[in-house]
Amino acid sequence: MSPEQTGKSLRHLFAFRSCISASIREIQLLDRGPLLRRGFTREFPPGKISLVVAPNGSGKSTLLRCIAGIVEPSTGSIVFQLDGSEIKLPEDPVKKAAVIAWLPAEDDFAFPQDPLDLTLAGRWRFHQGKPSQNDIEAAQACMMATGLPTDLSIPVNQLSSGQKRRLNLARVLCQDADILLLDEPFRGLDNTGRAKVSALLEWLAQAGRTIIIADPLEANPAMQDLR
Amino acid sequence: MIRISRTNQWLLMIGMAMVLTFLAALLIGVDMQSFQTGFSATREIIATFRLPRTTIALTCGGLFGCAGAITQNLFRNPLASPSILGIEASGSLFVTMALLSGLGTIFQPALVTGAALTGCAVAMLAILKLGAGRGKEEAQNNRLILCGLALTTAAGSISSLLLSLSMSEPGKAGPLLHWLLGSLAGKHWTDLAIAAPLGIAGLWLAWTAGPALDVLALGRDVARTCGIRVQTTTRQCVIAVSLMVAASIVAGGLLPFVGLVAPHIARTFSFKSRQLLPASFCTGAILVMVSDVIARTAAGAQELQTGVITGVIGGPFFLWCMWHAGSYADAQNENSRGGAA
Repeated sequence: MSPEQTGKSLRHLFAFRSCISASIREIQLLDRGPLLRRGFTREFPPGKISLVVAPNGSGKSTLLRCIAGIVEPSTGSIVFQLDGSEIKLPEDPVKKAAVIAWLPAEDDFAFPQDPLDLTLAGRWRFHQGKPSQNDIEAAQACMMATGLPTDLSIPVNQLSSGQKRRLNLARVLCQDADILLLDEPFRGLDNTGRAKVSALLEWLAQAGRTIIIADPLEANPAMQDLR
Repeated sequence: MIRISRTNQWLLMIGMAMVLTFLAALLIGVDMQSFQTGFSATREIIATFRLPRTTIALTCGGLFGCAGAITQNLFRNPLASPSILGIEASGSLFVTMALLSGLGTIFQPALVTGAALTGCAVAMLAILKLGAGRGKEEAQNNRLILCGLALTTAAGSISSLLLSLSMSEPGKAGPLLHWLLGSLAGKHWTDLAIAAPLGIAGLWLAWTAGPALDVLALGRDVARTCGIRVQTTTRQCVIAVSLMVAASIVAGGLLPFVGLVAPHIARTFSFKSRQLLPASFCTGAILVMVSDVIARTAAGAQELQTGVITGVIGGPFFLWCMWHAGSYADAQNENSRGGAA
């Protein structure tokens, strides 16, 4: 896929739309980090990059897991809104995947999978096991956008930590969800990678997506760019 | 495109290797003088004894190979397999109990099949429940293997206890011991007829769960946010593995380590689960057919048990896997320390 085709495919993939926002209201998890122990309230509006910067062990990852619905908070609520009106997230994982995409802090690839296959996992809500040419092109465009070659043929568990991060980001991007929960997205990336990902996230925010980034480093250059 | 076709070429080659091993296994035997006694005698030996036996070896090996691949992806653990997690041991315990219970002999095939299926499903569900805990992936993996080992030991010990208590009845203990050691001697088409429907159903379920299982290998939480119906896929895999392992142990007895070794060999050929399943089937089938030929021929006229031979090959391979996993983790830690510095 040429860079022109990639750009076209990305523009097509991430066209502007009204996206769902998240409001955290006094959520508490007593056995987790201080961020959640004392109760957390915050608005995450659409079309913006929201940063959650806090030290290690403060509960940032758990907060993202709460929003993703993986962890249930003890008290408080998470409210999702579309164009100002409150909505309930669908129970069906396929439909829910259109709303929330989650990048975990660790790229834990247990088996020697194919990089393109792994990226295509992000397109599951579209193809459900039978990827079309469109899905393959979208996955390739996302791989290129994070700075990976589309013909990468190294098994995923043998990639470098930076390459694994880029690949996992590509998987999250090609899910094309309304809310992107990114746990330390810049970890292990080189300067070029950080610049690429920062630019991509800014573009996604302009396209209306709700982007929530958790990072422990106040001084992270990429985070400074996004402020 | 070249990369994909190369993977398919490997798959084709391994499929051809399976067919060639099957043909060779039919021809190899201690009674080579039968060639001199005439073609019809050889044909009869092959048709009556070796063809059903080798077909059962192929089927059991293939099913164990596929069950191993599914188990590893489902539990996200390269060391997971039906024998390590106690699925095989639990199935055999239930069969032992069924055979020693003295329930009607007419219904014995149905009884044995039902018992094996129940035993495998109980073990799979127990492992899913016990092995899933909070904490880091590594801790969960260790917990899973420890639960599996506990289950294997407990089920194996109870089987041994029941067997030793039944020693006073040689009519019962003899065939049971023969079966527990994984002997393919004296196997006939009837053994395959019982196992085949279960095996086919298991393979079909495994095949349809394949793409979702690929995503599930990224972790349950990631898979759920990608849109995978984790519970449905897990249930489908539990049923598929139970059917395949039950079919294998009903037809061929216990064949340890095939489920562990076969997918690892297959993974060197292919990364994709759609190709991993047929590749694991072929490697498992080859492993058991070769083990069966060794069992038939290694000790001259005396027959060894195929399950013992697969254990002899699989045991050292398992140790190699453990050692390799350890050195890989060390290298990862070294990298992350280097990265942090």
